[in-house]
Amino acid sequence: MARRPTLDGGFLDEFEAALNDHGFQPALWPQGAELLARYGLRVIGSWTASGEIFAVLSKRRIRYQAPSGPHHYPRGDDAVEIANEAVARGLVRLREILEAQGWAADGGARPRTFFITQCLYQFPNVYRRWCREQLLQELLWEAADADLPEPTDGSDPAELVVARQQAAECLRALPDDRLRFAVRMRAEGHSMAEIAATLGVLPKSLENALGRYRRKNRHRHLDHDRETLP
Amino acid sequence: MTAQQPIDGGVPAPSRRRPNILSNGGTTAGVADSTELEDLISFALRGDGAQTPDIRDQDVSQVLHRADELREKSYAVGVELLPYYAIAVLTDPAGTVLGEAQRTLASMDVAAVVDAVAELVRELTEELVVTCTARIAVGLHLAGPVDSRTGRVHFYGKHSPGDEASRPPFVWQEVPLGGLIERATGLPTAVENDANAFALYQRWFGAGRDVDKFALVLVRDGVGGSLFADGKLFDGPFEIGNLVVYPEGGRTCDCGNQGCLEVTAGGFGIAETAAVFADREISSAAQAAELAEEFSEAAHKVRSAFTAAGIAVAKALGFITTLVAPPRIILYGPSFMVEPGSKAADAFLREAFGFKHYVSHDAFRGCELVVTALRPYEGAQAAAIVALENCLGVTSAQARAPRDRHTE
Repeated sequence: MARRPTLDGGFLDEFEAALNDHGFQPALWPQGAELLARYGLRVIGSWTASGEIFAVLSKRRIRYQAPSGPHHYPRGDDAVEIANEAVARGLVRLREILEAQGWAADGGARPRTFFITQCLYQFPNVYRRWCREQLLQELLWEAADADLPEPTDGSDPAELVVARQQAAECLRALPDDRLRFAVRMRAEGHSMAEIAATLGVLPKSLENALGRYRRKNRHRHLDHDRETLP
Repeated sequence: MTAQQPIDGGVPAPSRRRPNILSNGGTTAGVADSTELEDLISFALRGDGAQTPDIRDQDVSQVLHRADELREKSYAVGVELLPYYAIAVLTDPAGTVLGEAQRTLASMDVAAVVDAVAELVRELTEELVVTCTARIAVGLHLAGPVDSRTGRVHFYGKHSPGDEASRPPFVWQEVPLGGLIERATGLPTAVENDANAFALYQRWFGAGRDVDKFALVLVRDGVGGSLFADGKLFDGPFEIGNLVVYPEGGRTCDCGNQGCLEVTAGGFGIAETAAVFADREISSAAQAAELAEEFSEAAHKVRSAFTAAGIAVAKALGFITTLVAPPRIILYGPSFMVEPGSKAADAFLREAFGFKHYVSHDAFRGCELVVTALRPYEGAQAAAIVALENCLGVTSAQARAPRDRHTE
């Protein structure tokens, strides 16, 4: 039975030793990549979940878009997704550098540390994209003029997270590409007439479609409230 | 709040056991001591931090899959350039849409448009640009004659009636748009005429899949056309919009002729005709279509504008059929004109489907007319296909295979 690669089993040490002795070997990469992915997820995942990632980036003098409030700290599934993406990118970048022989065993850092540095370099782009999506979802939600329960106190991060998740669900639930397009145009400040002309639909049809969507959402939220109320 | 939760606008509060993450330590960029980073990593790995995650095999598999995807795949960004608006999508080689973006253009100045397009491309590809091994190309189409081999736009201009203040008229002549976007993005770029791009889209995913030859007529603000034959787009202008269909009494077109198809059946033309017929201000064909729904004398007159547009299109379709005898013609148009059920669409379609009256020989009358409504992201998807075919060498047959397997 093949040995299961774990961080504690010394396989990463073996992989690093092979890298030090012989340089990059494509045949060893699949197992090495799996070990590094596991390692990167623990490290970057831990830092992302705790919010420490920003302090580490500052420490390493890696520029990033600073979180402007508590809701700009990714949590839960968001934190996992961001960490996963940064680690995936770090792996791609590492392999590229190894293939180009841009890493030398006598350079000081161990390969796994060098890999974490690559993940850190990738993190700001991944994080910026996440922030932009959050902002877009908020704008879209406002534009759709739907009936989300407003957070009672904007300073409570938990409520903000819930509201954002609901907004994201609503955007994903937009049933029709025309409606999605219209909501995005509304978010940019266009009038219904402009949107209808761009979409090639009757203004009345568009208003009806948006109205139906709002009503459907209202019912969905009422149903949801009924289900969740004690 | 625990010690590990972030503080608003700042960084997490330190715990007693944590290495001194927060101090700058006097290191400089790029030469920070790797030992220091290893200390931070060791702390994260010890598992005594409250949020050290358990790593699931599923997450590891996803990361490895994602890394392969980032490294090996080809992607295309398609941009549909409209007057003062741009719509973009990111697709994979099968033409599947992975992301959408759209943007109002404050100016139609060439440099401003190139900047906006580059920004859209960056927005959509940001997450892909990890490595130079991922192949990304850009495709763009617009409503004007284009040399698709060089990316040069021969002419592109718009004059939106009644909207001069917010959307001033503009004219581009001999603009090397492909090269400008390539320089701005660093990515190979293909530029195509909009009707040609929609024809490729139909070849990949629509009514052009099962015929060797088809023509396409695209009705928007103006009218464009394309011909697909012998496995490729016809290599020449197919400016059907400038076919004269009302030689006497028709309005004057930008091309200088009277009674062109475009000035009767294009959106601007319909709005102008409806305004004249109804003797009232009408700014767009969509507004005219809405007015046509009413029960009034003016509405009746406005419906006549759609009837005239339908006759004009029927004449053009008859001309195309007589000239090249395609087994199928695809008529693309806004939903209010081509989706039956509204009075405007009914008036337009009734005439357009009579195109065989204008075909000169019985032998050619087997041509089938397929009518389809424009969807908002379809144009950008069509532009992505232009990039896939022209820059990345992907063919419709390659893209079609997985989709066919899926549907069978």
